[in-house]
Amino acid sequence: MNHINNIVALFCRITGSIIGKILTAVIVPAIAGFLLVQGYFFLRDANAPKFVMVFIAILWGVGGILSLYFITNWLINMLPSKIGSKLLPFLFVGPALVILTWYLLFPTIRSVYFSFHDDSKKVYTLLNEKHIRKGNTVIKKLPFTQDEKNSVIDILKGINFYDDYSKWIDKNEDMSAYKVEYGALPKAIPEQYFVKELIPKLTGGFQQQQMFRSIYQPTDRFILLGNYIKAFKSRDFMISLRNNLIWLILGPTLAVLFGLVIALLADRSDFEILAKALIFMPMAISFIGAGVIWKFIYAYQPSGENQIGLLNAIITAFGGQPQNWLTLSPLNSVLLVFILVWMQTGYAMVLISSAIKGVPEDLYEAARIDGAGEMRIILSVVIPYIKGTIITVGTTIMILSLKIFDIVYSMTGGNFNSDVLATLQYREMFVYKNYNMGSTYAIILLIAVIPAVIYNIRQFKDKEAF
Amino acid sequence: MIKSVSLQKRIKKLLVNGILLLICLTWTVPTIGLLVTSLRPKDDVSKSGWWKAMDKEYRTFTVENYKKVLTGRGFFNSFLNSLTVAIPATIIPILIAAFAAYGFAWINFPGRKLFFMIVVALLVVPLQIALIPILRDYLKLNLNGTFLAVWLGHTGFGLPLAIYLLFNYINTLPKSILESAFIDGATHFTCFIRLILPLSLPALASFAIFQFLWVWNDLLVSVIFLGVESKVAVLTSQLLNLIGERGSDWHLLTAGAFITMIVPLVVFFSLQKFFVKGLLAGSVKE
Repeated sequence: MNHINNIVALFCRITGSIIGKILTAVIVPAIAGFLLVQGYFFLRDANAPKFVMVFIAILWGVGGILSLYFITNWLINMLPSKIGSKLLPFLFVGPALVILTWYLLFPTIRSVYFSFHDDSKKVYTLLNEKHIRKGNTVIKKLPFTQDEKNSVIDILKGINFYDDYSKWIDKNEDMSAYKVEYGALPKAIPEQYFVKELIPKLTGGFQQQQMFRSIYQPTDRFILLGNYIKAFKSRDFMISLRNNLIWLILGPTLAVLFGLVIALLADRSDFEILAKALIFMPMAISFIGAGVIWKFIYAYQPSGENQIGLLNAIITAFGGQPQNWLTLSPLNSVLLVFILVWMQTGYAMVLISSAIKGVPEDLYEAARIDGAGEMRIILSVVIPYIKGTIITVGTTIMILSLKIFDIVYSMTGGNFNSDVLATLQYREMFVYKNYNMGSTYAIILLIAVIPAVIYNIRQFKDKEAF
Repeated sequence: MIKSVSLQKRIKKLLVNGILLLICLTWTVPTIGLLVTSLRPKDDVSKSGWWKAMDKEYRTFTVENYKKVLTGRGFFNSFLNSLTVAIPATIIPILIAAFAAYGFAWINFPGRKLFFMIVVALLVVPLQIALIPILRDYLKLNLNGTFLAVWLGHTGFGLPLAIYLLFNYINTLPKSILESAFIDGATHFTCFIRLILPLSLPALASFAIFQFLWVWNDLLVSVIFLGVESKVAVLTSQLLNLIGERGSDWHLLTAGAFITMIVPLVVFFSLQKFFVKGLLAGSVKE
């Protein structure tokens, strides 16, 4: 921090004079701009030793941002104070707002827009329009036009359409005569082939469906709340909602509770730093590492075999039957929450512990003089005093639980009814390429958190500023 | 009388230490499992639980796994890549967030409340919805695969929480300090640099640890914006390679996971002293 102070002081001295001011106004941004651009190209193209690159990268990234702030402040100071004071707030919040707008706000708005649009692919709609239905039974099938057939073929070209077509023609006696006669495949796709071969290819077995989906052509019709209605009608979604609720209730509660108890105990124990370090350690483990660790706890082998999962080993040691824990819904969600609690308690503990250290000594004294016991002091002095911290920690872990993705994805992949909204969204977007439906799930997640946002805004209300 | 009080105190102390020890041990069991597994030969790992490592049958330990991981192709390089990603991706968002937190907390300007509301609401946006739009922008800007792309990505995705937490701290610094600074003729900028930043050092350090951990352990953002080529691959993506083609090389993965933990733990211990007056110490004053 001293360095920054020195730099500030130095700059102040230089700009004390008017000449200095004008000079810096022109030269400083020019030099800084030049260095930043040079640094960018150097980092993008250079082949210097790794160490040098790392060092320059860090210097460039951090120094660049800092200098941008200083230079902008300088330029604002040059302006008449009336305009300057209007611009100044945006020197502070501007860069953050710009980055947030680009990285999060625009994608969110785009998602809202997508969520009002249909994912159904051209061919599916085509089929639906060609089949006149009465209830669920198709009573009449209209013939497809050549245009419609071509649009399907366009999609199918990616999956060896011509080979397939050629083989079918060869098998068919009438058609192979045409092929021999004209030396080419018939351009007008026979209705028989189209309906019996191509359509099933698109809508048939699971694998074909996957293949088709990866070369989809969405219709993107505007359907207002159609996706939302579809979501609430789907079983997968309701299960995810239930699981998200389990995460939402258990995650923050357990993590904050353990964090609080451990912080209180550590404060009064003989090995505070060691205890904190041990509780904190899981935070340092990557999700991949954590996934492996917990597989060694929940792993399952059939009864009678050597259990390599700790939980089943304990249960069989007491004469119980081993269970395939991660397949049992809704218990599997609870078991997955434990992983989050194991990882996040360190976060809660660190913040709560520092808040406890901020409780003034005289409050303890006063309570002791009143004859309050240790438990009483904790409940009616310490906890009310650190309420703000507990709410902040609870809010962040709550949001983390709502967004939870990595743990579920790496442990069960969302199988066995352990899906949550984020895994559902990921699968719709990146596996099935249903971008609009995926966006819908993201927006539902966003709506679910509005109460927490409102709560946090309320503390902002009465605040005075300069 | 005095004796019984001191006895009571001693029992209490014993109880506190005992319970805490029990919790700590429970918490450490999974990590011990990781450590033990990383020291066992491959065949033993799949045949028996790690707690049986002390049984006569399986009592063989080896550092072969670590050797294999450390001398593996590109491991050291990916270690440097991770540092290159993590250090600026920690400092840049904190810097920007500190400026913004001060702006929201102490400067009155039109739209202040609305903007803050948006920041808090953005906390919950899952970053998966942003990946594809940002990737498209990066392709246009020719930024894809550069470290700058990942830094900016981590900054964008980390900013809401950084602003939220730092705001909660800076917001509760006593108003009187700022008032006296303004009377002495300080501008918002000098006030922030000389007064608020040093005062917020504990909060900045605490948040720095968390941001560093998230960035260091991130896989998704760096794989998508930086790629998996060995020239730029980070440690976590290297770790993923260790699982092996059939997903069975757990002995290597556990060793790799342990090595990746070292840097975050070093960071934690070196910044530990700031926790005494940590991230939210200021926010508790009513």
